[in-house]
Amino acid sequence: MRWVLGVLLLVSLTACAGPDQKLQDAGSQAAREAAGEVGTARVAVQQLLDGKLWAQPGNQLVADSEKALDGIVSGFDSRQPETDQAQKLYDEYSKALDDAAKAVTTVRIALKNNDRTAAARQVGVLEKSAQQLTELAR
Amino acid sequence: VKKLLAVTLGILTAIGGFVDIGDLVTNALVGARFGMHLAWVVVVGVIGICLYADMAGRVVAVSGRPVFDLIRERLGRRTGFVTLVASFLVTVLTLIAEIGGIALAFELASGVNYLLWMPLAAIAVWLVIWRVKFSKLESTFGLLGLLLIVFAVALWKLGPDWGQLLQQATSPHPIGHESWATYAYYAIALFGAAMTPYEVFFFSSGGVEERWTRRDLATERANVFIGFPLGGLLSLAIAGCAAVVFLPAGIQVSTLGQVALPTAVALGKIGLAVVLIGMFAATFGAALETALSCGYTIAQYRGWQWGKFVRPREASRFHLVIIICLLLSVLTLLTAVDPVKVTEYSVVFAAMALPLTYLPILIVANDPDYMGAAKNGAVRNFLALIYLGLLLVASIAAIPLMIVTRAGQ
Repeated sequence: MRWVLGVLLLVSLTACAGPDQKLQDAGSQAAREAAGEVGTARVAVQQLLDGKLWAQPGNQLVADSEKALDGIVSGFDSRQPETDQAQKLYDEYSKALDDAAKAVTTVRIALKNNDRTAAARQVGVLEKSAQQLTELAR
Repeated sequence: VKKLLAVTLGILTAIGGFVDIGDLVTNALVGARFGMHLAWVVVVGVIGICLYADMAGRVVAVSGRPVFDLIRERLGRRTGFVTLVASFLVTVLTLIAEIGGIALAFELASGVNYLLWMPLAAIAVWLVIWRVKFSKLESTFGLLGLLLIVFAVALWKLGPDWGQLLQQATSPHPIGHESWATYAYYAIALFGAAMTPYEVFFFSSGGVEERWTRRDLATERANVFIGFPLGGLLSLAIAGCAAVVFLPAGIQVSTLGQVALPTAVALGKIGLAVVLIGMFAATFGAALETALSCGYTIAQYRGWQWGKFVRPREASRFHLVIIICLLLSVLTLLTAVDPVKVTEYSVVFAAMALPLTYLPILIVANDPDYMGAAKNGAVRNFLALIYLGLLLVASIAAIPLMIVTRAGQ
């Protein structure tokens, strides 16, 4: 019975959340998911550079992450900020997500062109991006 | 020696055959999000599948008839129909996921889009069912599926803090930002993946295909009580790899490539090659089993001639059902629906259908007219009833949890 009441309370609180809170929650969720995709791309590139992964599966993993990130970015971008505070949050999350998507795209291009130096350079960028997204997700 | 070899082969096949796309995806996904905090569900699920698969195997060995045939006869057409619909729909959904899994494994290895591999995968499944002997197809893909042991080797090579993994496994609660609702949702998904209905129908129909008698009871028990738990250990190794590589980095698993990645991290290209072959074998083997199970359930309910122990033209309607189900799978996947998402949903829907699948088996296994002295004893019935309660809870909670968590998000 308590469990049911808890769930009902949670549902009603979620439904009553203000526009700022709603955007914050959506941003956190998007940032968490994006951090995971950036992390996958980083691990894949690192394994490729260490010679532990063939080019094809490595490229596939990065391409999958890029595709997933595009979905996350467009999903978040389609939201409508209703207050000034929400607009600020929207811009902050949107920029971080865009940067992450760009970083993964750059890696994908480098890998396709067999440019290992550029790919190696991007590992640090991906790490930073994942870190920033993880902080935003909190 | 010959008997011992047969028993060993059966056990190895059961280990390799235990893991399918549902186990691969769900265990990796759960390991990445919850570490080993949900490992207990795999243990509970394996005990459950052992309990009911043994019951189904015993029914076949004693009566010489498959479970679904007896369900219709014992419970009547109407109740049998409800069981048929629930089990059949879940099995078709699982078949769709398995065909998608084969195509994704090929895409990962070749770079050619999975949508192009899918029709080829379905045709290959049909050809193998049509041309290859039952015992051969079962043992070949079961043994190849054993290559997934590479996950256990990878976990060992990753050198995790075993104490921490054990500590996670013995503290069943959500971690980080995860809520109790998502924890419960994925517990149900793991339970559904371990106790997928088709496993029991395939196991019992396979017993008829291989003409089990009372003398085969020891082999059947060895397959179930040694093979399945070792298969469960494989599932835990998949979750363990994801827990070690992905959890600290906050990576969530949403592709088959991510499931395989920890083996590359631990063992390099060789590990990746082995895991890709293992994934192909596991999904292809499971696609054969689910396609056959679709044919078994419908044909046995309708009283048609079925099975691979007769020529295809003598069981034409059985083969037609298989072809239609394969076509349906290809058409569904051609809508570009994500096969990994289909897998995630299939294990949850499997959990919903579990009571309808397992209750009739329990009833038949208790019927002295079919089972004689081999009917269930008190201890087995006690355990089976506890599990039935668990299945019922999982079945009822699945939909509300799916809504509340937005399918585990």
